[in-house]
Amino acid sequence: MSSREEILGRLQLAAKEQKRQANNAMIQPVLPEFNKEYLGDKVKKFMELIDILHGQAMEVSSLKEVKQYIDKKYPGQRVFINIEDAEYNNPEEWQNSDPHDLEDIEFALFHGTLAVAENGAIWFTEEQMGQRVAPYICQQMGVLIKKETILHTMAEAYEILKDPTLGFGGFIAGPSKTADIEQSLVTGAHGPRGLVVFIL
Amino acid sequence: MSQPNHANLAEKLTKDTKRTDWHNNSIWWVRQNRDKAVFGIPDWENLRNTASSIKSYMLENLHDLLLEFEKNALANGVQVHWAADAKEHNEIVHGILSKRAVKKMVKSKSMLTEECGLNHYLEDQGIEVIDTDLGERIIQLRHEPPSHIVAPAIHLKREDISETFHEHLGTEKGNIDPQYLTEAARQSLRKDFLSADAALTGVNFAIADTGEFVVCTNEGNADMGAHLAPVHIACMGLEKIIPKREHLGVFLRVLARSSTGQAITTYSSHFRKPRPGQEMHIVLVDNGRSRHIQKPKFKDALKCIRCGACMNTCPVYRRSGGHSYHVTVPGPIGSILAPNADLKKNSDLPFASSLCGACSNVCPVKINIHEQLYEWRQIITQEGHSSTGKTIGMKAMNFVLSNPKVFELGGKMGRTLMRTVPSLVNNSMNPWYKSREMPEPPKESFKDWYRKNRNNE
Ligand code: SF4
Repeated sequence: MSSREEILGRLQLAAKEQKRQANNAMIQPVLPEFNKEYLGDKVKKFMELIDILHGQAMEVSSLKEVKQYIDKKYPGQRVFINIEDAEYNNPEEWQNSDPHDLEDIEFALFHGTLAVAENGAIWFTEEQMGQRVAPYICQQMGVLIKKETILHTMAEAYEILKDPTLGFGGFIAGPSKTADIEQSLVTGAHGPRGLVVFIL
Repeated sequence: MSQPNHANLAEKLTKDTKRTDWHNNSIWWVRQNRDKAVFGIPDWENLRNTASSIKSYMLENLHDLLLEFEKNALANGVQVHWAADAKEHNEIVHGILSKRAVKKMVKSKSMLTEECGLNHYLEDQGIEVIDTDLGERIIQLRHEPPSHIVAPAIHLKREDISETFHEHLGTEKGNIDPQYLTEAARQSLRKDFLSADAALTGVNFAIADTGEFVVCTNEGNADMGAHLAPVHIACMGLEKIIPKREHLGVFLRVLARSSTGQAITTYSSHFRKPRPGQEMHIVLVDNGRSRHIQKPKFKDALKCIRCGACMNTCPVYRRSGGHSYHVTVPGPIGSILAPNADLKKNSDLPFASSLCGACSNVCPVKINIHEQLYEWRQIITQEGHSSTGKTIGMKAMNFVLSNPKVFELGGKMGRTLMRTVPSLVNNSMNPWYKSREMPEPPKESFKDWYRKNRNNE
């Protein structure tokens, strides 16, 4: 008998025994309503959280402003922009290249699907990443978030994210960090050393 | 000594009082961060109840959920493997690697592969394994096991790490700046990420409904490995399954808060399909779990999400250190998991507790940890696996406590002895005397005092 059959056999036995003892089968738990009032103004809270996470959040009024920020801060350096407004993008050379070639990206800008006020996490699909490794390998990360996509809680986020269609997606909350040396927090463990969030 | 024993192993840390205090305080600091994060959420108990009931549902329906998960993962183009035990797990991983002639594999944190002894197994087959979580890398370079499931190098001081990095990574001698040391590890590990032919990650949650798995890290090491390498292997214990994606809205809220006091880990990555041209494998590992689930009193230990809160809160763990538990998962949860695997060898662990119940109070999935510790003690004593000293002590205690006359006489003798020859009690043979002053013995017992005084109030 294969290990698969053996394992499943034992689990089936356990299930039968549990059902016999419990009399009736347990129904799948339904998620309760969670409090979100305590978070107050969600945009304000989100910006506060980004600050706590050692990132930087700023409200901007146009994409031009974002472009100016990047041009000023990263002149002559390798920059990767993959946002919804195609005129700013330069992904052709990246999207189909070997992921290892992204190693020297200094700054990368992505669009986030939604952001969560309670913990500062932002969701990205692999489409928004351009290449899966891009937001993890760049030295500095930039994110564009539309104000109306900021939500209060994780429960609301998964209400939107519950049926995935793509192969990969993830929450990112702040720059990469570690506290493995005597509990002292250091940013820039493996991934981005800094995170800037532009709220449009 | 025939087998490892918690009390003896703990001496390594406890004989250095300063280091014990340092260890205790640094872990207590994590516990305090957890408290701050938890008190900030009005729904905390509601979240714990929900998390706990989803995991109870998982335990009741594991057979069906695993089949559903397998079906969906296969449809996503992921290869699924089943391993009955540690040996089969290691062979499966090696099989995948040797097919692609892998020379070097990067690995993110996985307590399961630690449980299975994967690193040694692969190294014996000539495959280089690089642990990429900073804490794990540190202890890998030092050839030590992890001492904590979330912070594997929490037992080390920055001076120790500086020495290790000086020796292996060529950092300046005596430079103990965490920023500097982390940067050195970043540079060195980046080279490993870029040159690895395979990546292995653990799994925090696997979702039956979507066939995907979620990996949480702060450093981003799981993603760096998995998105660069041509082969990604994810290894998980059977109990990591949850029914639906939306349940993550509960678990991701409690995990990091319980662990480190963060609102969420920096990265929570949802792997559903391999990227074009990549191979993705999931290894489902039993290694005793399908037997464990058949024990009604103990099965709830399988609800654990490995947050580490129970060890951070445990007064015994904080003062004895992770290595004194001589198993992969230390602390209160480790002490109720380990007897399932080997009752005799791990019979000391359920006694490494004060039964104060702090562990059960902080557990985000509400495992009755301290009650299970107590249950294991009963079984261990009944089956005769408890240490001889403890068994004699317990038998004597039973005799004394069930005979009032003997109790009274014993008290009298004890008081006289402590007054006349205190060295009989205050010596190193009496484990209670270690780091304790015995109290001044009273001249008379409460009972005698009461007898004398009750008439002349
Ligand atoms: S038993 Fe509970 S508190 Fe301990 S690690 Fe597991 S989930 Fe966390």
